[in-house]
Parts: sequence; structure tokens; C-alpha cells
Amino acid sequence: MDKLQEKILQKIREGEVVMRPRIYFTLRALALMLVALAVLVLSVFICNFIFFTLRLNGHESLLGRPGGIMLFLRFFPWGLLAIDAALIFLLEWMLRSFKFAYQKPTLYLALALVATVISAGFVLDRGTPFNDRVLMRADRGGLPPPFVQIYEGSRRPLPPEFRPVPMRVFEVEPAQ
Amino acid sequence: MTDEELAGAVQAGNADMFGPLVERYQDKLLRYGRKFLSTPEDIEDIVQDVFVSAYQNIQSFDTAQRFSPWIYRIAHNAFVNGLRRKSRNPLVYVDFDTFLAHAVYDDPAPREREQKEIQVMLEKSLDKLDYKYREVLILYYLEEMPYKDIADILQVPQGTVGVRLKRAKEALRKEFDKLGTSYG
Repeated sequence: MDKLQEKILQKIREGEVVMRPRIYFTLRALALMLVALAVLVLSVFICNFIFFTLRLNGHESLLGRPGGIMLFLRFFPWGLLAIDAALIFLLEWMLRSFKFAYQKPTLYLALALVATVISAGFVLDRGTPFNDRVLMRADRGGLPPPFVQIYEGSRRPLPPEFRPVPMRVFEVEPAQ
Repeated sequence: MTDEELAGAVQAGNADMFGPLVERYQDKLLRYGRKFLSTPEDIEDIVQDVFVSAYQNIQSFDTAQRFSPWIYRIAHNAFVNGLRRKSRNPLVYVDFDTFLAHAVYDDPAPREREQKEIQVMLEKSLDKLDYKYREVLILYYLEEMPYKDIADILQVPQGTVGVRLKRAKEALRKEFDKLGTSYG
């Protein structure tokens, strides 16, 4: 018998090299999927929160004003976006160990993840009362940390000089 | 017995069946290793580690799949790590080849035609190539694997294998031309 073959078989027989049980691999794959799912949920939550802060503080209204795009970009929560981008990058890296993911081109998988996170975040904010209810609970002091701080910190009104000026309509001239 | 049947027997607890698997793959893996590293002791140590790792992780092998890409994947990781330790370069790169989809066209006819020419070039110029080109040339021309297996070993899309192979051949020809020798 060959030297290398004999050396390896001897290590196996002496118990120096032990086979890991199947359950180890099942649990490892499960743990990886759960962590990936948690990262996905977190990134959807952050994306939803970005939409919420824009809606709550009226920043979206800036887009309809002259020069509003620059102001919108100035007040955009870039920090949250950076965290979300990092999470999506982490998710892509984690998924690439799975066959379904590494068979796809990196860019396509990244675009699919970005589209999923943005659409889920948008639907969560605009299609459900989730954020409004959580904010109400935060205001009543009924939220545990760190959610209470996160939602209390969501109010970031525009500086007075950039706020929309409330106007009252006194008279409407009939159309000629 | 096929490789997959042997692996199944090892999974079922017959450790002696691992012997024939070592016998079948040790020369192939030593040859694969020689294309990455030059020190025979290092290569033998890494091949031994590959078999140890294969035995420890054999329960993760799906016997419905082919055994060869599975053990080559372990060997690939081990040799790349070995190369990383030896090299000053960190071997971490953004691989733009994997970004977009590329057409897959694995035709064995050109391989058969080019086999001899490429093998001569590989013997003389392989060490001058980037390792990402080296491995794809070795797996395709020396180990004669299909795109699908190479894609599983390198964990990249099949189209990327084709693109990388094309670039690797161009790089190999360039290096070979620099030597100023003919392959005939």
C-alpha cells in the first residue's frame, strides 16, 4: 500500500482524524441560512426606516420644489443607506457559498437583492401601518431599547429656512 | 465501485473504503498541486491535508453528485491558501469575470485540437500566469474536466469559466511567445 494512503488510514484507525456527523453539516447550513435571513430582515427594516423618515419629515416634498433635489440629497439619511448597502454586500457574500447563488453572475444577484430589499422596505412603510404604530408606541414609552431611540430619533425636521411655508387660500378666482 | 459508491460506503462507516479513494486521487492532486507550488514537501503536506479534510467532511458530500469536483474543490481551497501563504500578493481580487452572464459553449472539439499545443505551453509558461488563469487551464486541459465541474470547483458561473479560459489562453500564448520558442 502507498505511503500516503497508509498514513491517512492509520490516522483514521487511531482516531486522530474523525468524521464529522451529518447533523453538523445540516446545522451549519441551517445556521448560515438563518443568519442570512436575519441580515435580509435587518436590511429590509433599515430600508423601510429610510422611507419612513423621508415620509415623516416631509423630505420627499423637497423633490417638487426648485432646487429641491440638492436639498433632498443634503438631508437624505446617507448613514443608514451605507449600513444597508454593507448588509446587502454581506448577504451576497454569505449566499455565494450556496450553489444557486454562485451559478448566477454577481451583478445579477446583487441587483436582485437590492430590488428585493427596496421593494419590501417600500411596501412595509407605504403599504402597512407598521412604522406609524411603532412610532406611536415609542411616543407612549412602550418600546424596548434600542427601538425607542431609533424611532424617537426618526424625527429630523428640516431647518426652519427649508420648511414649506403654510399658506391659506382666501379666494379663488373663477376660471375665465 | 465508482467514486460515489466508495464515498457512500465511507459515509456508512466503512472507513477502509477511503483507501481506494486516496489511491485514485493522490496522483491527480499531487499533479494539480505542482502547478500551484514548487516545493514537493509542501505539495505532499497539502495533499495529505486535503484527504484528511475530505474524510472529516465526507458526510457533507451528496452521493447523487460527482465526487471528483467535490474533492477538487477542497484541493483548490487548500492550494490557493498554500499559495497565499507563500506569496507576497494577498490573492484577493474583485473578479469582474463573474459580474455579468456570458454565453456557455463547452465544445470538446477545440480542446482535442489544442490539447497538445496548450500542454507544451503550460509546461513552459504556466508559472508566469496569474493563478486564476493557471487553475482554469489546468482543470480544462490537464484534468480534462467539463465547464460544469470547473464551475463547481471554482464556485463561479459556467459562463465565467469560458471567459476566463479564453483570457487564460491569450495570456499563455503571450508568455510563450516571449520565450521565443515554438511548441512543435
